[in-house]
Amino acid sequence: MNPLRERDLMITRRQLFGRAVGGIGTAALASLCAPGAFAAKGLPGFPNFAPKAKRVIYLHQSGAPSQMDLFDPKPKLADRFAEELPDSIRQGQRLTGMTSGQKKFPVAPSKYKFARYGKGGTWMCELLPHTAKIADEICVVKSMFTEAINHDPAITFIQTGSQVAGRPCFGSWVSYGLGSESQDLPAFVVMISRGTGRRVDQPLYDRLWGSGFLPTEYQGVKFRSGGDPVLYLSNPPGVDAGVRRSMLDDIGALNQANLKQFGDPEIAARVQQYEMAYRMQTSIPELTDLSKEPASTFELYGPDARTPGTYAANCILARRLAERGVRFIQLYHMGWDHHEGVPRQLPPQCLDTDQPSAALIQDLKQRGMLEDTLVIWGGEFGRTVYCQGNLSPENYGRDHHPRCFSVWLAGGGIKGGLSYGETDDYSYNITQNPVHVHDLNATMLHCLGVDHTKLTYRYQGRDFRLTDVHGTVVKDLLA
Amino acid sequence: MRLSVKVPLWACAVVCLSAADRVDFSRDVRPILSDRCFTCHGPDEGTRKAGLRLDTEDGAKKARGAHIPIVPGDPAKSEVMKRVAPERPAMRMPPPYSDRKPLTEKEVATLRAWIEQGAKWQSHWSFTVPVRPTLPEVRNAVWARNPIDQFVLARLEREKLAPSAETDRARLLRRVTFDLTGLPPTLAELDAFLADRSPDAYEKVVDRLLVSPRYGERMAVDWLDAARYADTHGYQVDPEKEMWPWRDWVIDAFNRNQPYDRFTVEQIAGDLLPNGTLAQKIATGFQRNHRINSETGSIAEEFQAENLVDRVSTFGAVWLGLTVGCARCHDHKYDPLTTREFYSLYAFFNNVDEAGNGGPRDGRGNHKPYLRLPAPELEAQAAAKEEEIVAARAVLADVEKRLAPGLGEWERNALTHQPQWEILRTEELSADGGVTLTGQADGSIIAGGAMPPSSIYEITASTAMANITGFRLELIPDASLPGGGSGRGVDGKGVVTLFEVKAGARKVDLSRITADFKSEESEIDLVIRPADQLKRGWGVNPQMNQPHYAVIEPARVTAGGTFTIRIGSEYEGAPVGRFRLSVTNDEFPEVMPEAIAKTLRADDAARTDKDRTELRRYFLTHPYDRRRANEQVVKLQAEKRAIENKIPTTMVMQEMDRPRDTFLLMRGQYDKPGDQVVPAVPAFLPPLPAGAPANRLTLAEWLVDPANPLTARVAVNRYWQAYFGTGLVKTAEDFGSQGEAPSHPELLDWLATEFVRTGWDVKAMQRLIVTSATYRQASQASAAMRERDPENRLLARGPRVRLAAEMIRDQALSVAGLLNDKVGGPAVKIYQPDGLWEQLSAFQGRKLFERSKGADLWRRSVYTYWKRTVPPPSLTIFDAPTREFCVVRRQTSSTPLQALALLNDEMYIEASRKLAERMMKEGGATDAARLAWAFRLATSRAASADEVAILERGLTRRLARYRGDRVAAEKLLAAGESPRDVQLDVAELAAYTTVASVILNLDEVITRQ
Repeated sequence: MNPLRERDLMITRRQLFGRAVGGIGTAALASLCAPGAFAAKGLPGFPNFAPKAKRVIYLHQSGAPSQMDLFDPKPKLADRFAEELPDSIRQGQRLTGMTSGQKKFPVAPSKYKFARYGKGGTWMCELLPHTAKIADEICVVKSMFTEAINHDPAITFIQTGSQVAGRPCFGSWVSYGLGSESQDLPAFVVMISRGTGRRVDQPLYDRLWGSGFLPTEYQGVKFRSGGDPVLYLSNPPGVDAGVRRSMLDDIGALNQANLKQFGDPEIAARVQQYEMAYRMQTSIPELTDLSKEPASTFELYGPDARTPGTYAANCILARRLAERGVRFIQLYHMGWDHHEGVPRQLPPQCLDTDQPSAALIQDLKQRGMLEDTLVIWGGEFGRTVYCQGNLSPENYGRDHHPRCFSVWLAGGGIKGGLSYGETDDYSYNITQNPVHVHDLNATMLHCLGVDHTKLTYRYQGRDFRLTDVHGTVVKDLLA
Repeated sequence: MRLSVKVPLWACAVVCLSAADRVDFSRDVRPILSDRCFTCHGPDEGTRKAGLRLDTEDGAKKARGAHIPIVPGDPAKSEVMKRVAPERPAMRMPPPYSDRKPLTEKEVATLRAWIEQGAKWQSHWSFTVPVRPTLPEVRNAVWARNPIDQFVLARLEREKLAPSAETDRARLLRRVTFDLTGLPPTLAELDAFLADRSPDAYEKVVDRLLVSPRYGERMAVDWLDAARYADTHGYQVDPEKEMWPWRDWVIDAFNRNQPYDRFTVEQIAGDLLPNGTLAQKIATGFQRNHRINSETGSIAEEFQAENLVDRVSTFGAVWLGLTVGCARCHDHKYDPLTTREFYSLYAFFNNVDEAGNGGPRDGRGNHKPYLRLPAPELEAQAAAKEEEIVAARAVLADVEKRLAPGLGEWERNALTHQPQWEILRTEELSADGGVTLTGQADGSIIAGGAMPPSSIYEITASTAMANITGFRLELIPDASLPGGGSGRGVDGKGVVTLFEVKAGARKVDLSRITADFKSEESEIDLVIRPADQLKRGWGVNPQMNQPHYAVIEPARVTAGGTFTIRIGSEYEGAPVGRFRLSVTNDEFPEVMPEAIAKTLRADDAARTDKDRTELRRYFLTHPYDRRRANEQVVKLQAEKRAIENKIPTTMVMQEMDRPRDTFLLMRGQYDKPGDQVVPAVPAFLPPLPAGAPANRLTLAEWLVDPANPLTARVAVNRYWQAYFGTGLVKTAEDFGSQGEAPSHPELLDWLATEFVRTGWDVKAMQRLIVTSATYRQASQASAAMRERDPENRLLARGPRVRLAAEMIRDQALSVAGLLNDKVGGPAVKIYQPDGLWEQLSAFQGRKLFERSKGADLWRRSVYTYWKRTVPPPSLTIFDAPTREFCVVRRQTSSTPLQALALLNDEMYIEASRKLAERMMKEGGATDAARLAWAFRLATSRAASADEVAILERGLTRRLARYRGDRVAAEKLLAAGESPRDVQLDVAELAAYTTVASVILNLDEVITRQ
């Protein structure tokens, strides 16, 4: 390291630790002393204890999959077709504005067949033949619950621990706390795919992977399938690598001259950002180019895998990002909001996601990475047992249901083959082992070696954290 | 390399504790108590432990049985000392199970010293009215240019530090020009300033900048962040709204130097001012800028509460510098603000006739209440249109009068009347998804081939008939179809989900669909008004074995000829099988509604008046003459609506006649109302004037009463922050107990009282700050000084701050000569990568983002269209907020994404090309001269010989490259909409473009230093 820069970075570290009382210091520090620039080092003292997982792949199923059609079978309901949902079950709980005006709340039993899979006998429906094969790797939590009943607040809540916009999402928290292991990739990457089950999906919003009050460098970097994988990544037409390098050399030389005069470590940081940007121009195209993946990869992840932008292709990218040390990889798959026509919309959604999700687990496992990668699959809430709109044995719709839903976890630190929690006969209320969103997030951080009460950031005079003032690690889920 | 955590916290000490000071309660002690004790022993009664509170003097010094928490003068007897540094760890406070850290040794010592010195108590510094301090004595009196400098210098002298020399004039001009206008100085301005040797040359520049219209645009940006101003409503639906009239009001308010107290009152309560002007009402848009959630299924009461919480929290942050939102669910943990008081503030803002989930939007996307802006020309057009409507209505009435006598005859024949249908002559057939369509001898069509989940059949067919009033779609059973039905699905089911007609390229508007039979599940209207979410339509279950038909009527009588008809079969598993299309010109083409048929079947005597009216209306709506007359009315009405929808509106505050009741919400939950509350201000702040009505106007006047301890301090602190990067109170959003104490408390109070004294003169305050010697210092610092005061809180040097996102872009436009300096008006959509809105949107395949054209691409960034869920990335990458919630202090990050944006964004390539053109045309004859010219344009200073040499070497290298590849050069120069100067050599211009890009990427260029 050149002595000048060394000096400046040393100063920076000290000054920033000086500032660390308020939190900002350590954050900015991480970005300054990074060999890369996306917050490489994380916070001192983190992880707080030996982590089981080094990274997270979060497979968010946006719109909210129907738990009683996938993981939470209620065979007794077959005899209750179109019966009114008993008040003893509904208990006057609030409903969304879409069904609160319905005169009737007829029970819509799932039309799908369920069976038990794996040594743990995990229930799954016939639409998930591939997930069935990894039953012993995953832990299905059937007793998740949340507080929000509409998409925006609910997805905001599950991602940030608050329904109100403005807090950092978990990916930002994790990259803030633990930093990056990659020299040339962001610590937190986001990818989005469209569902084929529903033409009109729930929209997404940049805020979901935003860093809230954390410094901007912790926000998720969106990888896209069309155009540049990362915004502005490619050199403009007419600028080749040689021209670019020559420009960067000039920028670097002039910035160094300014650094000499002003001694501001921010200048040194900027010099590094340009080098990081240059490395990203090579590393990201290399990363997103799947042409060198063997045929077996595409067989494993299924027919969509060769189409860029699909969930399957994103799952392959997720594995490649994990291999390259990216800390938090978040996928969103749209199209799960089945207010009507569950039997028409659910099968294609499962077709989109079942094989690639299972393939990801198998792929990580065969590469020895499952043990230190935490994978989470799930939506923002569940769906109602009562039918929204017209009901027939072949066709039914389901409204939003925050009071119970199913997610699964796998990999680093998680007990595979476990089914956790129970709901009542209507998949309406939780009867055993409720897991709140904060509990899930606390557990996720625990797997990463982070005490969720210690990962805090001072803002507006308060030490904020992902789990607000709540959350309990669900020890039962841990291997 | 791993870093040690055990680094002394002296950097903070630099600011907070200077040597040999007496311990000051507000500065030194209260922050410790607040941070470590108040969570359990503070204002929140709900969670207070052991009944002990340490946020009041009474609580801290009163005996509690055998113990007294704090005994002035006697640390040994003070229970607090026994607990924060206990002999036995189990005694320790804060307890190990809490999330509060134990006190450091230094903090314990501070506490002990304070008690020893008598434990003098003070109320929290920011809750007492600022008293104008006397100016401190300084040794180096000549350095001070105004009172600001005396306070800063006194502190430096106490620290045995000297201020820095004034920065060079070029840098000073650049700094102040950015700070006051958000733009760099032009070369002419630079030369003029350098040439002006008069002693007040700088002050003259400041005065020039303060009257520039660019000043208001620059000042507005920070205010728009605070006011969470945007062009869409936010939340997941994020539809467009129109609030730019409010934004223009803000810019104008800064430019005409509206005093801050009036600026405040008008934005909080302009609608309540006696004889309030339109502008004063527009100003209240501040309170309506919050997000509005119109997500389907959202519960209005829930979001009414969210909107109000946002309004109150924003009010608290912007004017009081307090985190009042913390008291939404429980009493504030640190500041003396109860939940009841929070909802009492909420009550001030809760009297607006609005719907929590928005309710209907006007033609401009706004939710009520809103104002329509004066638009004389459009209003005149609308009035003229109204006259035409009146005339057309008269014609219609005449026609009806003329037709009325025919009613009797029609009644006699109506039940047996059959329209004459002519089968359309099929010309072309096609379908997607592998479906085949085959025409039959009887004019019908049979579908075969693949069974995809959804398919659209397209039939091109013609007729010689004129005046078409209806299209008939028959579903015909066929032996070749399952169960001998009319569809291809199970038991011959077939569902029509879409019926679309085009005559040539023109889409035929369809008004109605009726059918002789439909299944129970049918949602027949969806066939002509398809909903993206619901692919249902018309089916005939269980009568698939019988022929049925539907009649689809055009909104207007349509000429014949060739039609392209699209029939949707998108209901999975039930595609249409055999069908036939016909047309009619009959005046009564449709399947008669059952209610009408029933009336017709009944005896005249059995008909009610209502029946007769309905019958008459039904009859009258059908004849050609009446149709044509009515079409004319409808057309004119649509034209009038279109004109009216062009008139801008803006959302405002407007009190309801009867105030809405406000209740405390338990745990902050909208569905758990507690006690009713009335509008009131928190008890720890001055009371409202006796007898004044408890409304927003009184609240606003209360804010700007000099007795309010916070308003002026919070405002001047934000101004300070705008210039120095950090406020005197670093936590600009929190002046409460947990906020950071001011680095220069006397200076802050002096500025606050000066602000009030000058009648809240905003421009005077800016002028005061930027003409201070403190502001004018050079920003270079020695390593030792940087180590001593890394954040420049002591102000021994000038500010060195990265430019805000808007300034970076505006500078590029400015030096490129592209900047369009038009003020105000609707927002513009600037360059951004394709597909950003589309990727996240609900609607696949729909184009949503339409970039602005021409000169609109080069407007100042403050006019950029702000879509909250997908804000413009070229600005957010440089830390512009999403504008979803109030931000009074922006982040300043440094990331590789910034490098990529500056290097590769089309907007910056275009700016580089235009700058390159200017270099070649205006920069002089030689490469070196041109490079030096551009460098000076972008940095305001002369480049050193070394710097020019670096640029020249790069230019030469890349020029050789582009001379060898003129195609590459052409490609590079194609970026952006602005025309290229074709007189210039392509290779040379390309090479210069790369140099211009290098310059725009320099740290110095995106920094004011």
